[in-house]
Parts: sequence; structure tokens; C-alpha cells
Amino acid sequence: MTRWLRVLALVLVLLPASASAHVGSPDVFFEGTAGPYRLFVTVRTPPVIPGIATIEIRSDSPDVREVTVVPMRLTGPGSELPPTPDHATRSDADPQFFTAELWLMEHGSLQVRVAVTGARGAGTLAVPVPAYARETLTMSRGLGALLFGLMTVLALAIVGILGGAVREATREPGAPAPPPPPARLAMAIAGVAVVGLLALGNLWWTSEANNYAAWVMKPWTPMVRIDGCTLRIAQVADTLLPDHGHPMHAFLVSDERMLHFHPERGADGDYEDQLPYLPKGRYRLFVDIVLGSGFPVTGTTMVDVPDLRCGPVEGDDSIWSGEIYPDVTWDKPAEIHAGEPLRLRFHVAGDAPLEPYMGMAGHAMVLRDDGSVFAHLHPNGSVAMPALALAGGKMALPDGSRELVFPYGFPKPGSYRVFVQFKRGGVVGTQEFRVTVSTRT
Amino acid sequence: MIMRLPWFVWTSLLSVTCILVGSYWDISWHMSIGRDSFWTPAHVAIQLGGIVAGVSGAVLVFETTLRRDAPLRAASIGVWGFRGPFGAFLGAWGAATMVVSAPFDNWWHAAYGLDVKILSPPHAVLTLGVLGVSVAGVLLVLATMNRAAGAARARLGWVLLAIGGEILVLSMTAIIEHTFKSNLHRADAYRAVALVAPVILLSLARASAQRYAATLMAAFYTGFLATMVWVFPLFPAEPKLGPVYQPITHFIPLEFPLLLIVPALAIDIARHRLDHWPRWRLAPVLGTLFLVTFVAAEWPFATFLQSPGARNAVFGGHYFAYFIQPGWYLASYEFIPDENRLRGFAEAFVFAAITSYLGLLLGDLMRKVRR
Repeated sequence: MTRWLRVLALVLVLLPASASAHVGSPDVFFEGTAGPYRLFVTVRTPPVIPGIATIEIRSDSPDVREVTVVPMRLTGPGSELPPTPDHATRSDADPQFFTAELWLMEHGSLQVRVAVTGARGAGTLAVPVPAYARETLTMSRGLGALLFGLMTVLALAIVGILGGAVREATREPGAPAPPPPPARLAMAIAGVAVVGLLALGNLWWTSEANNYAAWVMKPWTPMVRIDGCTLRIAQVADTLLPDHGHPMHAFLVSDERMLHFHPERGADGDYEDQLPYLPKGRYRLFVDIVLGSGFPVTGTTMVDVPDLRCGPVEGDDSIWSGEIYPDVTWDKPAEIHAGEPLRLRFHVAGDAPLEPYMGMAGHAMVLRDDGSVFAHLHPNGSVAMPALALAGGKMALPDGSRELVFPYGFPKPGSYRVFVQFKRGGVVGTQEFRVTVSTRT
Repeated sequence: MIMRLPWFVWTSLLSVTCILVGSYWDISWHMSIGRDSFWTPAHVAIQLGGIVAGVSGAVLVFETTLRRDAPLRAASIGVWGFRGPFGAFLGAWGAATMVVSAPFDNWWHAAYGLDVKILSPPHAVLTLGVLGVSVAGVLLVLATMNRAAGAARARLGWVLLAIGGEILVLSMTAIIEHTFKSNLHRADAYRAVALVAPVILLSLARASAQRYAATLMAAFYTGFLATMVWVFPLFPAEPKLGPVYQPITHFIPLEFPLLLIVPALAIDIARHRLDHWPRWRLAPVLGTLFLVTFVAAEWPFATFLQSPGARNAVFGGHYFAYFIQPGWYLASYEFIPDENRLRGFAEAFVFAAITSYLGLLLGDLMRKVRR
């Protein structure tokens, strides 16, 4: 079976984008309905695969009796047969809050299927979860010293036992022990053998660690060049799922600009789009794609943009150049803690109703000031929309309200920018907010 | 009469039996249910095997060291000022090694994820401990047998072969990632068997007085694994881990045993006729004979195991672990191609000769063990 795991590993490694969904934001935040029950699901993904994910489920209503969760593949084989479900535990302090621990056994596009029963019947909800290894843990000094000590004792003990055996084990009962030289020779040979065995073990361990390291997701650095007004991104996977109508969502961000644009595949296989007027400067580029399996990938790099005197943005592309919309406000909590699942709630006032922007009620981009966190959110949360479609979920469309809500949790403390995008009167608006996230207490 | 055998002969048999049953159960558990804990019955059986061996070894060592009139005082070896039988020291060492593997394995899971294979470095440490416990069992029985005469010696010979058969099953289980059905038309499988089986069969057969010792151990291996194929599916089970690729309603056994009994019989017949040959001459002959007869039997049998005729409760050709994907060779009843067949078989012949020599050498040394 190991052979097939290796083959699978190779296939995954060969994926053009060995990177993860979003940047520095591995947990999944998702809001949806399981039958009549509205749920906010947080999947805290494990740092290693196979590893244990923590599933947190908050029900909007108090009439949920039981919640179960199962892991499955998002599509294809492995998406039909559920294992025995895990029962989520209801919190004593908050009866509408449930938690469960779930093994994620495989890398790739998985789903956590949440089943709910309550006073209004039963319902299920599928949450797409990209499973990938983020790191290899190092051994603590204490454990390392303990294991090294035990290994030394065991090594010395086996040498002593073998020495004693050579000296006496073949002698008739009662016969006196022979002089020591043969045993000393045997112990020396055994000692060399034990050291050799430990050296081989160390080589094996190193090899296993290297194999595992090959599974750990590496950042995808898109290969970018700018020809005139055209930005091109080369060497992207062949099969991408369209994400609300576009195979690629890209974001060029500086202190003064945030361009949301959508390169399309050109004749030469590169992805390209026309850039608008942009002042010369160093920009961060983030590129969102979704592979054919439903696995979302975000690449990032720095791009030096020359002074571009090109045309205005076209189609679904949009740009923020420092505009301020006083009637767009964030119902921001007094304090935001890292890791805390939140509904980022924005109000868009004005007479014109909100319209779908690329099929969505709104978009939000979260960017930590140092670029170490980037997430592209929708009213469903942080999941990729094509993955949600594969899981049979529905996208949140404008419902006539003046409110845009994005489920999310900031992964670590620091200073963030949040760009909220909406459409009204046929015009896309982008508003920037700033927020400081503190350490979870 | 059987009761007259020393207690540590029975604890030796008990400890290896617990480890064997626990290990088999554990692998089947991982194929059928997936999720486990420290306290699954399979783990408890393995732990019990280690505890029985460790406590027995410690009792023997302390009793022999502290009591000048201890029954085994005259038949003991000295290690670091302690006295006891060779097997007692090794049993305690094996149990301690098994214990040490636990925190290492826990850390391994945290650092690299839950392992989905049998042979990882921490599992190798556990295997080393199990090997220590198993060889300790052999040595305790063997030393007693070599000092005994008459009926007791004969009975101890049977116990020795029983432990030998169990060690054969354990060792063959350790290499099942190389010997699953789809791999049985690749040299890799035969190379792995050549590394493991001849040394066990020949060492214990050489140490035993039984003419058909290798055949009897292979028969135990065959009987044990075949019985498991027939019995385990009678117990219900369902996966508690996902994704699930195969519908599972009962425990999934390991695959039908390899036809080791054929080469075992061949080497029993040959070693009886060529017993007077020196080891360096006998080993390549027995190694070659082992491999040729094994390939001749297993290759066509593997074809049968992949056929519809084997997809029944007798041969269990249709049992797959929950994580076996439908497109894989195994689930498609296909053999994996072999690009390095010539080199693989050349290596297998060399390994078989070397491990045959080691088996003969160890067997000769084991004949001399008295303490």
C-alpha cells in the first residue's frame, strides 16, 4: 500500500501549485444551512496530515439536539461512503455551540459533512476542506534527552547481555565462567553492530523526514511579467475550475491601490489581463485559483510595476485608489482576538440596492500588513466557491438587505487591512478598513 | 507431565502468542475500523505480551541474582552483576524496548502525522522489542530443552516449534507491504521473503530435533493465517475514519497465506539428506531451493488469488481495507508491472543464500545454548 501512497504523493507534488488556499490562513470558516438550521462551522485544520482537525459548530437556533460530523473526499471515489460519524459535544456554557475532533487522513480536497437533528427535523451541510501538511514538528529538548538516554541504556544493555551470553550461555550448568577476552571481543563486535544499527536508523529517519517534507505545502510563487499594459502569469495548472466566472482572481496591492482583476488563459497557455492606470511602485500580488479537484491555491509574489498609463478597468475588474465611502461602515467588535470565529458585518447604506458582484453579494479581502496573511472571503466564508459547488452547496446571493456578512477568523495577532467590495447602481465600490487583532486571551 | 515444564516456558509461549494475536488484530483493526486508542483490545494484547515477557524476565533475573539456591543459578549468565538465563535478560530488554517505542511513536504522529504503514522508525523500535521478546522466548525454551532429556525434551521441542511458527507469522506480517497480492508477480515480493523466511526456518529447524521442523512451522503459519481469513470476517466492523473507498461491514483479514509450506518442505527434505555438508556449501543450495520452489508455487497461486475463483470466504480474494481506492491495482485484481525483475530476482537469490547461511549458523549456535 505504501507504493500507492508514494504514487499519490508524487501526483500531489507534481501539481503545479504546491501551495495552499489563502496565505497564512489555514482554518476554514463557513456559514450555511443544514436543513432548517443555520450553522457557523469552523474547521481548525491540523498542521500534519494525517492529523486531527477540530470542528466547531455554532447553531443560530437553540433547537438543535444532535450534531455529527464525517470526513469524506470532496468528489469521486471516497465521497460516497461515509465512515461512522463522530458526535459533536455540546458546550455546557453555550448550548448552541458544539465541538468535535476529526481525523483528516488524506491530503487534498476533502469535505466535512455535518448532520444536524433537532426540533425541526434533520439536515446536512457539506464544508469543503483543503487538507495539507503545513509543517514538521521538531522534538522538544526534554523528550529528545529522555529518548536519547533510554536509547543509550538499551544499547549498553544489549551489548552487556550479548557479552554475558558469549561468555557463559553455551557452558554446561555449573561450569565456571571462562576468562574475559572472548566476551570482550564479542561485546566490542556487538557495540559496533549496535552503533551501525543506530546509524542506519538515523539515515532511515532522515529519509522518512525528507519524504514527509516533500508533502509539506510550499508557497507558490507565480511567474509574472508585465509587457506594456498586459500582466502575464506563466506555468499555471492546465485544469482550473471557474470561480464565479473566472479561472483566476488576482489582486495587486500597495498602500494606495488594490486592483482586483481576472487574467484569462491566452493562446500560449499563459494567463493574462490588461492592467489599468497604475503608479509606479512595488506591489504585492496574490493569485487565487481552484484546481480541478476543488483544491484552492493562492500564490503570492512581489511585482515591480512601472508607471502604467493604461486604460480604465474593464469587465469584472475593479480598483480601489483610496476612495472613502462614508455610508459603508463596519460593525466592528470592540476587540478582535486571533483565532476567534467572527461574522465580519458591514453595512452599505444608500438608496441603490446591492447587486450581485460576480454572482456574489460581496467580496472581502483580508491582508496582514506584512503580507503574511491573505484571504479572499465571501458571505459563505473562506471556502472556495467551486469547491462549495462540488460539495453541493449554495452560494450566498444578495437578499435585499443592506448588510454584508463575511464569516472569518484572523489567524494571528497584528495589523490588518480589510477591503470590502460591493456593487450598487452598476458600479463596484471598494472600501478599506483597518483593524488591529490582539492575542487570544 | 506437561505441568512439569518450568513456568517460564509457558510465559514465553504466552507472551509471543499475545503479541502475535494482538499484532494481527491491530492490523485488521486499521484495515477495517481505522481509528484506535491506546486501549483497543489489540493494543492491550500486545502490551500484555510485553508485560508478561518483561515481568517474567525480571522475576527470573532477580530471583537468580538474589537467591543463591535459585533453581537456575547454575544455568545463568552474568550481566552487570545480575545473574539469570540469557533469555530472561533478553525478554526484559525486549519489553523495555517496546515501552520506549511508545513515546517515540506518539511524537512521530505529532511531527509527521499518523503513519499509514507498518514499518516506520518508531514501529521498527517496537519490532525490535518484539523481536527481543520472541527470541527471548525461544532462548528460554531452547536452553531448558538443551539441558533436558527424554519426554520433557520432546515436549519442549514442540513448544519451540510453536514459538518458531509464531515468529514466522510475525516476521511475514512485518513485510506484508511487499507481499500483497498485486505484488506477487514482482521480484520485490520474493526478495522480501528471501530476507526473512530462510533465517527463521533454518535456524529453528537446525536447533530442533524435528525432521520436518521447517514444514511444521510453515504449517503453523499457513493454518494461523488461513483461520484468520475464515474467522475475522465473522465479526462486524465499520470504518471510523474517512475517506472510505470500500464498503466495510466486518473485520477485514490479512490476505491468504503465502505458500511457504512448499519451500519449507523442500528444505526439510534437502537438509536431511545434506546435513553433513558444511554451512558455506549447504546455504546456497538451500537458499536456491527455497526460492525456486517458492516461486514455482506462489507465482501461479497468485494468479489464482487474483481470479474470480478466489473471491469467496475460503480465499478472501475480495476483502479490501476501507482505504483501498477502486482504481488501484489491488482493487482491480491486477498485478503491478515489474521493470526490474531480473535484478530483483538476482538479489533475491543472493539474499536467500545469505539468510540461509545465517539461519544455519544461528541454528548451530542455538544447539549449544544451555543457559
